[in-house]
Amino acid sequence: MRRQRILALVKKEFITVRRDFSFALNIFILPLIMLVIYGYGIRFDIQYLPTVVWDLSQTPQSRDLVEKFFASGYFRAAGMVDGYGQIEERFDKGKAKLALVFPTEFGSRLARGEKTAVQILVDGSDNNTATLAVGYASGIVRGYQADLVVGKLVQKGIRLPFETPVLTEESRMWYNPELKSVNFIVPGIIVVIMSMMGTVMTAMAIVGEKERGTFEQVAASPLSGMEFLVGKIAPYILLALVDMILIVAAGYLLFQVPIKGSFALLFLFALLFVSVTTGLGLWVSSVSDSLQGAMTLAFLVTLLPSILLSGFIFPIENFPAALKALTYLNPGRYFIEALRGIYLKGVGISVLWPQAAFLSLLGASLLGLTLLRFKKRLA
Amino acid sequence: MPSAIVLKGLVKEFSGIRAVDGLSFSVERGEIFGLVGPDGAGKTTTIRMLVGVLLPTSGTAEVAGFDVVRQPEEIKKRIGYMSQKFSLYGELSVQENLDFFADIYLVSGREKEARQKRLLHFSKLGPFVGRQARHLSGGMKQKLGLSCALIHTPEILFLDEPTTGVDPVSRRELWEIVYDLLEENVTIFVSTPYMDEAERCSRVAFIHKGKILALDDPKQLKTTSGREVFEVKVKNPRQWRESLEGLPGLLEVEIFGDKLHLSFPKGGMEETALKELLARPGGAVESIRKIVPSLEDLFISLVKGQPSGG
Amino acid sequence: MGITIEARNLVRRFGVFTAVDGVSFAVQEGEIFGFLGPNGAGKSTTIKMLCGILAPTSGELWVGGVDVRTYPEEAKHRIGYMSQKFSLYEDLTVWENIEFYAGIYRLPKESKGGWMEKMLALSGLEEEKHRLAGDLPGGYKQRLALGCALLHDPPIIFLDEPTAGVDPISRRNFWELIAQMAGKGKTIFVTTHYMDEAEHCDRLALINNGKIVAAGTPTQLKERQTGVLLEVATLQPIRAFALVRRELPETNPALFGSLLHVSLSDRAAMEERLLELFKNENITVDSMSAISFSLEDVFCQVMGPGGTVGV
Repeated sequence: MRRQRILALVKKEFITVRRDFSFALNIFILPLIMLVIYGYGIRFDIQYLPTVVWDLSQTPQSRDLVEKFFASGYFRAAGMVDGYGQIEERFDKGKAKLALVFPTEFGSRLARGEKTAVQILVDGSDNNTATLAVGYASGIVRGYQADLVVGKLVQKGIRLPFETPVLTEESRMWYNPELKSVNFIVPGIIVVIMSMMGTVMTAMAIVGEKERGTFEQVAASPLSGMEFLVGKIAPYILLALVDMILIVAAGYLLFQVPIKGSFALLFLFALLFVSVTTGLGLWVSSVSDSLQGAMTLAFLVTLLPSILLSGFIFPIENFPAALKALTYLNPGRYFIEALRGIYLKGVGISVLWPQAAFLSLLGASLLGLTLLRFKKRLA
Repeated sequence: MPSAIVLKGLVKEFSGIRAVDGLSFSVERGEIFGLVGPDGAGKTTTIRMLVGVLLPTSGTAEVAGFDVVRQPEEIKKRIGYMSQKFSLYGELSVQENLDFFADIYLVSGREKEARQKRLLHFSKLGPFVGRQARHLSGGMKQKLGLSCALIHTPEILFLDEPTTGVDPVSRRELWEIVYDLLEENVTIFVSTPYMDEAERCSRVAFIHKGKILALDDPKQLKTTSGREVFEVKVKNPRQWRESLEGLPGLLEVEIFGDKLHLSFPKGGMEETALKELLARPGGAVESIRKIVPSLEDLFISLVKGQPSGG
Repeated sequence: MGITIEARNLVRRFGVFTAVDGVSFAVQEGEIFGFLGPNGAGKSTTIKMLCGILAPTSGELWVGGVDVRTYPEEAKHRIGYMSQKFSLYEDLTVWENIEFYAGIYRLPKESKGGWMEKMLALSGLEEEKHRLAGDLPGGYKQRLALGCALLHDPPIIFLDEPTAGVDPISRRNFWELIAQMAGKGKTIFVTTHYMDEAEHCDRLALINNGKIVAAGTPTQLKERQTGVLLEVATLQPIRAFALVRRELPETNPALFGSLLHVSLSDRAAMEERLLELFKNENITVDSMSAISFSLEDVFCQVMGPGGTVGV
């Protein structure tokens, strides 16, 4: 291993990255685009859901409840309607997701202390949103109901023998109190981007040399296989780490996602993870001869597992046993667990050591195998 | 002094097809050796085995005294190689490419500076040091490739089709650089599909379908040609052509502008006899002379003389 | 026999760059006209303007009696164009490719079959009829491409570097085909930078930096070279070469195997000098004879730094 040679390779790689727009795009623009799209696009919570109202009662009571809905922040007014036909039309056009229907005697029955109901209609085509919407809506109705009861008692001059007369339900989310999906997504994006950077860029950088014929030129030089690989991998490990910092910073600046735990630990995990993904990239480059083939394979082994099988979007607990077993081989799984632990819970290595151990094992075996397998020949 | 390159029964098969089919020859130190043949003849495969990037299926080869299978790394230190495709880093400038290869070959300090200066001078790339390699013309790219292959002063230089797609002016410049190396006693092994370039080599091996058809110095090769070629100058060569078909022993007619080249088997036609045969009313034949067959003529006659392999 | 292709003061600019800079020439019917020049000299730009694919910035041009600037579509009916990257469909067979192009040119039904057969025979691919074009060797592909480009029987044929990457035997066959067609009265306009191919042409124009720098028959161009080319046979060619290169670099020495080529502007004065040099360095000269310049010599002299030859 000669330093002069490795440095020459690293320097060359950085010049290429600087001058080739598509590289720059992959390295710096893509992570930010993903963060913004996912950050704003994927929401596991609801906000300002367009809501229409069909108010047949036209009473202070109904207006009161409507006001409570819109004051909650979960729903926003999308106009008044007159009849089920119109509600359906708004749903079809996507102009409303929720509808509140007040019957004619809503106000009068409430005033008389009789039983009545408000009808809540939800556009169920987006199952996730619908479930959440119904949950929030019933919460608001229950709250209103409680207010009414208390109001009635006060009105009748009855003093209750205890301080807070009404039992209100209060659920509390730990670690992510506002249930902001962005807090959940930033760690996920770090995993996706770093596995793509490590695998896709490494594979592209090596297969690119094969395809352009520069590999042949270098293979006929005294540069050793090990020197070549180290010189090729090092820049992408560095760039992957730069990307991680970029996402962490952007997550904080754009979405106010803070890190609860130690940044040093985060960095250590990132290093472990990227050694696994670059190892994967080396493997991809050893089995493909064309850039296109390498890209396809690299995306297949990174994008799919890191998004679908890592727990990023779908909780692993819900997987069938076979699929669950498969996730143990997915480095993304360990990294995402570690990231969420560090990001959201602020836990340390005393908790996350199994993840660190698994990542080290995967990384060492993958890198070791590919380095040994690598031949400085064409066929 | 031992030979620079020695091949003994070198074979390379790709999924059962013999791309290189038992090559045996040697190249002496200080010569320009040409491996000449059409595309797909096995030139590139042969060179790749000699520079140690492709393993032979069978047979042996030694380069600079080292075995290509067992000691490829020893060979790589002593050779320069310029592969067929332009294979420098397009995004790197001329200077950066030179620096890169200097580092790879561990050339540094004053030696690197002196070497680069000399190469830039010979290649006339001095004014373009800052230009990215992908923006160079075809000829300049080749000259840069050659310069990078020479950065460490190799003993043996392998050039795989260095002038394909290069215009004649750049081609000459490239050959000038090669001649300079000859003065430094560098052995040059070059492959080319161009017969006119074969003339520049001290010895030439014709390769076709993985086999050597002939090997000698170009002058000697031409005398071994089984053909007799006459250059006939006429007013309207294209109209002549069809009327020549019945000529006894005629192998081939080629039109070169206002001249016809008629090929006969060796000893199959005399100049005087041809003159009589071509004598037509009106005296349309302006001149007839016997010419030395070109290497291309020879190559074609060798290939056609081969039993067809199917 | 009249003029079928004529360009007068043809200019094409791309932004500030002038690719073709006032080019004029005329090609006779039935002629093989060669357009020579280094990469980027303006060859392809000129051929594209002649084919009506690219509009000239200024100048006039006629192809087959049609003003290409005003009636490009008319002109296209009279020409066949085979570009450097003529696109054959690699996953179609030879015959399917021919059928495809017959469809493109909208050959009339009654004569279509006959023409297709004729082109198949012309390109000498009868036995390869059902092979995939992608499996053909380079030379065959080239002939198939030519066959496809000529399906509509155009009187004028444009070939842009037709034999790049084709082996010598196929190249010979290809040129035989071209010669045959010229013999039948077709006009051929061909660009190349292979000097041995240029020898096949009736007339040549050499273009550099967008300007025609020399024109004439191959023989005329060679005769216009000044001075003589000497071929020296010696027993010590490498030493002789090094010596001449050092002492008389203006003679452009070149080695051809064991033979040394030097060009002398004034033979009488320089030959003696040369012999004296050899004698002083103990280089034995076996023979020394004047040989004719090659087209490559012409090309290099004309294209070399600042060189032009009377047009």
